[in-house]
Parts: sequence; structure tokens; C-alpha cells
Amino acid sequence: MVESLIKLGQLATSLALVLSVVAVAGATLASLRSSPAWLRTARNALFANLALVAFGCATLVWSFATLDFSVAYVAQNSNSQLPMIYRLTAMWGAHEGSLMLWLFYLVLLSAIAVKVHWKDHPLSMPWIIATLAAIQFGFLAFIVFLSNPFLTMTPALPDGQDLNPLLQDPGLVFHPPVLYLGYVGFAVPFAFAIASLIRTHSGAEWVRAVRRWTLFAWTMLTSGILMGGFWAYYELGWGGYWAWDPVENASLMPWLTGTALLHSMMAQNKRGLFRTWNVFLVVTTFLLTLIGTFLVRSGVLTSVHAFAVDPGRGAYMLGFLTVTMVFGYGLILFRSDRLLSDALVESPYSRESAILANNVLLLVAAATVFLGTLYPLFVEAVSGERLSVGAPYFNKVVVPLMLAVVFLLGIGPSIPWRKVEARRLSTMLRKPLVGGVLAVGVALIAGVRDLLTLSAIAAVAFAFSATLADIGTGIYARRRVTGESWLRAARNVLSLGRQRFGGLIVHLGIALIGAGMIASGLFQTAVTVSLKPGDSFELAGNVITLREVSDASGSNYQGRAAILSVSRDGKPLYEMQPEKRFYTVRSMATTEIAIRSSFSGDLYMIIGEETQQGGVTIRGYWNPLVSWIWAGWVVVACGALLSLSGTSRRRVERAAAVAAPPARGVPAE
Amino acid sequence: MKRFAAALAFSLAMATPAATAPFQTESPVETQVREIGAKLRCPVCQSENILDSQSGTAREMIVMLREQLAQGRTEAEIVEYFRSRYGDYVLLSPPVAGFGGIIWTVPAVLLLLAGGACLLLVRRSADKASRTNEEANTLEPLNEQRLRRLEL
Repeated sequence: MVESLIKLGQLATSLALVLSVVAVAGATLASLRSSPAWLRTARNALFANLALVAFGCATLVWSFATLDFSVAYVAQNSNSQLPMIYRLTAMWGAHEGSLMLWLFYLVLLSAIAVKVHWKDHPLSMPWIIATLAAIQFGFLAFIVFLSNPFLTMTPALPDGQDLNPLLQDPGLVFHPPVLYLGYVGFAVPFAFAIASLIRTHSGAEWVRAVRRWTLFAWTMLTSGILMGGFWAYYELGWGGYWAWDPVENASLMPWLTGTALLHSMMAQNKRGLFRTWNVFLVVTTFLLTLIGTFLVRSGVLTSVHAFAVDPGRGAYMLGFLTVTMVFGYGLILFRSDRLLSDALVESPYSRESAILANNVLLLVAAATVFLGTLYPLFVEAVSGERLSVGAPYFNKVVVPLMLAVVFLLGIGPSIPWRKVEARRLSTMLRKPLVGGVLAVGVALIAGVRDLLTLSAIAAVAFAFSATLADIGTGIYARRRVTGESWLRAARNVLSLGRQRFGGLIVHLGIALIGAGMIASGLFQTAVTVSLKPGDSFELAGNVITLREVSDASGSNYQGRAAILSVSRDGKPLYEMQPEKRFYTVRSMATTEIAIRSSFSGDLYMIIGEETQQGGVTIRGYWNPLVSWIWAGWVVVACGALLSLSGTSRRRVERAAAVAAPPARGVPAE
Repeated sequence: MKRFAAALAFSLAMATPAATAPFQTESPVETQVREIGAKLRCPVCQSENILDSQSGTAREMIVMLREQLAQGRTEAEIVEYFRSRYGDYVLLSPPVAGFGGIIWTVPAVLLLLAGGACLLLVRRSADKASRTNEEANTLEPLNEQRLRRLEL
């Protein structure tokens, strides 16, 4: 019965492959012959695919839940000792299942996008459906023919090989699904952009339609990346959260271009500028999400995240990428003469040019990360020489670029569109500049002399105070006009200007994250000591004493724990218990870090080798302001939610149309 | 029960550091070990530096690093030593000479080119915009005159 269930899952997925072809063909026919019947067929095929793929995923999850080891993928990635929660999340713990999750998101978002925009974009709809269905086809064909998670084996294994212990962590429950949702989210703007290119309607309509999709995808991508950092910080145990690992870089690239897109789309929406540039950015961002998925999943990068190594799959992925790239960029080139903007940038002192500068910096950063990640592979392929490009390089090159972006983040939102007088600009920047100078003064008094560190502190403090001043000015102005109380004025300002203030709050969160990263990256204190029970060491004003080293085993691992007590000024505060684990099924060792977070920083303890006399080596870190990064993420998420919750222009227009029915004429699109 | 409490008190007394007990401190070269170790890649691992890596090779390299620092060698000498043993691969920040040169020059060139192009574009676009504005401004008085004439 169970075996036939997984076979049904495979059948459903194969059927979805057929229906994706039907949808592409139907949508194309619908547009060429302007046939609504074909369009409905294509739409219904996409809806059916949601049901089919959801069923396919469900059978896979069910096989994990019931530990059906006749399914090869289940046998490779779970074990009878594995706790239930990790059995369920093991579905995306390795190559085949994680692509299945990608596919599920794609069919889900396709169905939602088609449902939501069906009435508003009747002329673009065939091409939107065709594009989404074509991407579905690409993934479905890959899953069905090359990366099938439904394969069974006879005889079934008596027990599974267990999930990679690194992935047995709450981090796995959230990081990959959220990151993938961010990746796939960009498929919808991509489809809209392709449709507008094919129809040569490159005005602001598609930009308006996809503003929320882009913001949604960006928010998910940001959250996914930060959750990954959080996971690395808690699970991998090197005292940091970002290592410029190729896999991390793969997720950073679409984030950089996606951030650029989010800003330059505003210029097209408000001023009709940067049309070619925006379609270029959408196509590039989507391609980078594909590259991100494929780099990680093809195993071409050998890093902690690359679980799968299979050259045949690599060839398919490269082919799929090439087709998408040729089609996307080709279409832009082909239509480039129709993409010229009718508007002009009127002054170098304007929001437009600030956005342009932001785009240049972000794109150069993305290109640098791209080059640094892929160039070693290229060099090895052509010359056989092996080269490493790692954290010291990226810190030197990308960090200054990002600091310039943070500085712009402070200026950008306060500059008006079109033009601002230089004198007004300097009055506007006076207050935040004071903030920056004050922060640098404090740092100088504290003994910081490094130029990069000082400019980092200046940029973040400037951006933070500028954003705060922007929000404050808005509230103050409303209070003066309406005479409301501060609280009420704040509430009204936030709820009436959701897009603007949502954006400002996101900026505030980014500045917080920047502060956390600077502090923890540049002012970390580390100490490595060998302790016998009763010995102490000092770290950031805390006295840490080893009480004992004891046994700490769990259901599927054997462990050793060091019990440390922490005191400050002679007063005992709390205990910390870093552990070392050995997972028996996979015969893999992991370390469980002990972390004590506070507003000012984290104490971070790692257990090392045990010595003969019952002692142990302890590596301790003091990571200042790390919690600001996670707090900043919460602020970013709140700001994004506020901005997403804003009434869309479409709805406003529709409300206006109801109030005053317009003369019959051409549809709005 | 009493005995247990006594034992507890004793173990607590053992655990809380007496004011006279010296703290265990790390040897002064450790800071340098961390600094240099962060720049060296573990040659057998997947993009990890030798500090973070759990591999045997990385640990041996750390031991060598410590020994050489204790012998009073400079950072440059030590890095060169590892480079001669494992090749450029061991340097997480690629050398400017050879293949690494591209990596260091491309971002700067890109930034200059893109920044320059945008500056030029904005200048030209702003000029054009101000010219159209001027034309519009010069037309206006004429229109008003014509309007007055018509009204008359």
C-alpha cells in the first residue's frame, strides 16, 4: 500500500510534466489566435499542477513520516532513531527533495499569480502563463528524468543512513524553505517582464504589478540568508555567521541584484525611467536564483552545503541556465529599440541619480561576488591551477562597496525626485552627519584607529540617524498640522504612508544589521585555553570556570559536555554547557556550541580536545552586538510587512473606478 | 543530607575561583595564530580556513604555525612557507601576480567604468532636460503676449 502511494506520487509528478507542456502550448496558442478557450485550458493546467505536485510532495513527506526505507531517498536521509520533526524536514535535506520543494513553491506561486492577476492583465496573461509553465517544465523534466526522489529499492534497507547531523537542527526547519521561497518569488516578476517584452509593452504596468512580488521575494531572500547565518552561528561553531563560503555567495548574488531592482523599479514606476535596466535586472536576478540553486545542487562547488555530486545533472542544469539566459537577454536585445525611456534624469542631485548610484554599487558588488565565486573554477578548468578566493578577499573588496551603499541608504529617501538644490541637500544632511561624526568621535576615544573600521562606523551611524530623522520629521510634521498626540501621529503617518515608511523601517533594520556585523566582525575577542576542572579564564570581564567534563548522550548520538560556570565581579551568573557529539549511524562528529546572548554581546563557548587529567581545551569568543543582527532582521521584516500591506494602486484605481465609472474605451493595460 | 550539602559546598568552593588562583591565559602568540590562520585555507577541506577546520591537516598546520611564531618568524615568512608547500591554493586572498590579478582588477575597473558611464549619462540627460525647460520658459512670455492680444 505504502509502496503504491509513492508510485502514485511519481505518477502525479509525471502528469504535471505533461500538463506543463500543455500549459506552454495552450498559452502560446491563446495569444497567437486570441483564443480565450485555450487560455483557460492553460490556466487550468497550472492549477492542476499545483494539486499534482502538492500530492507528490505529500507522498514523499508521508514516506519519511512512516520511515518507508523502500524509498531510496528516505533510506539515504533518515533513520529509525531520527526524531519526528527532522523526519519531516528531511524531505528537503538533500538534492532530490530540495528540488521538489523548489518545484512546489513554483507551482504554488504560479497558481497564485495567475489567480490574482487574471482580470487585471488579460493581454499579458498568456505570456505570463507560458513563461511560468516553461520554468515548471524545466524543473519537472529534471526531477522526473534525472533527480527522481520517488525511486524505490528492493529489497528495502532494514534501516536508513540517517540525515546529515549538521542538518538536524531547528535551523534546517526554516532556512532552506524560506530561502527557496525567496528564490522562487523572483520567477513571477521574471514572467511579467518577459510578457511585457514579448508584447513590447514596457511601460510602468508590469512594474506596478510586480512591486509586491519583488518585495515579497526580497524579504524572503533576506530572511533566508539571515536564517542561514543564524544557523551557521549556532550549529557550525567557528564563532561567526558568514564565511564567504561559495554557497553563501550563491544566495548573496540574487540578493544584491534584487535589492538594486527593488529600488530602480521605483524610478520606472514614479518617473518612467530605467526601462531597459529594469528588465535586465529582473532577468539577471532570476538567472542568479537559478545559478544559486544549481551551484549548490550540482556539487560543482565543494563546500559544506554541497551534498550531491553528479556530472550528468550538472550538464542539464548548465543547459537549462543557458536556454533561460539566451532567451531572456536575447529578448531584451531584440526589443531594445522599444525600451527607451521618455523621461530624463534632470539633475545629478535627485532621487533618480541616488538610485543609479545604488544600482552601480550593488551591481559591482554582485559582479565581484560572482567573479570571486566562479573564477577559481574557471582557472582550474582552463589551466589546472588551483586558486582560492575567500573571506580576506571579499572583506577587502565587497565590504567597502556595501559601506557606500549604507551611506547612500541614509541620503536616498530624503532627496526628492527630479531635483534638489545643493543648499537644501546640505541642510537636510546636517543632523545625520552630526550622528556620524559623534559615533566616530566615540570610536576614536575608545581607541579605534583603523580607517576602514572608522568609515564603517561613520556610514552606519549616519544612515541610522538619517533614517530616524526622516521618520521623525514625518511624524513631527503631521503632529504640527493635525495637532494629534505623538503616538497617534506616529500611527497615522505609518498607516497612511505605508510604502514610504515601510521602506524607511527596512532601512533602519539594515543599519542595525550593519552595526551588528561591524561590531562582531571587527571587535570579536577570542581565547583558547586548556583547562582542568576548577581552572578559570577571563573573557570580556567574565570569569569562566570549568566544573567538570561529563557524559551527554542522546537517542542517535554519543556526547561529551563541558560544564562551565560563568561569574562576573565574584557573583555567579549562569552555567554554559558546550558539547561534542558523535552521530553513530553516519559516524560523523559535530560540536554543539553554548551561547549566552545579551544586548551588548554573546558569550560563545566551544569544546575542544579532552586532555588526560580530565581536562579539556575550550575556545571562547566574545562577539559584541551579534544579537543586533537578528533584531535588525525583525525590524526589516516589520518594515517589509508594513510596505506590503499598503493599498495597491490597482485597488485604489478600482475603488475610484467604482466611484466614478469611466467612459468606455481601451482597457487600462 | 548534611553530608550531601557539605559535598555540594565543597564542590562549589572548588568551582568558584579563589581570588589567589591564577587565570589560565593563552600564550601571547595565539592572537597571531588566529590572525594568520584566518588567511590560510585548509588544503583538504571545502573552503574553510585552518582555524575553523576540524581536519588533521589543518591541525598540523596550526601546530606548525605556532612553532614558527615561537621561533620568531614574521607573518610574511610563514605565509611564504605554507605557500611553497601547498601552492597558491592555500592563500584565501589570492596573490595579485598571475591568475589572481584578474580578481583584484576587475571590480575596480567595473566600478570606474559603470560610475563614469552613469555620471556622463546623468550630465547629458540633465543638460537636455534643462534645455527643454529653457525652451519652455522662453515660449511662455510669447504665449502670454499672444493671449493678451487675443483678449484685446
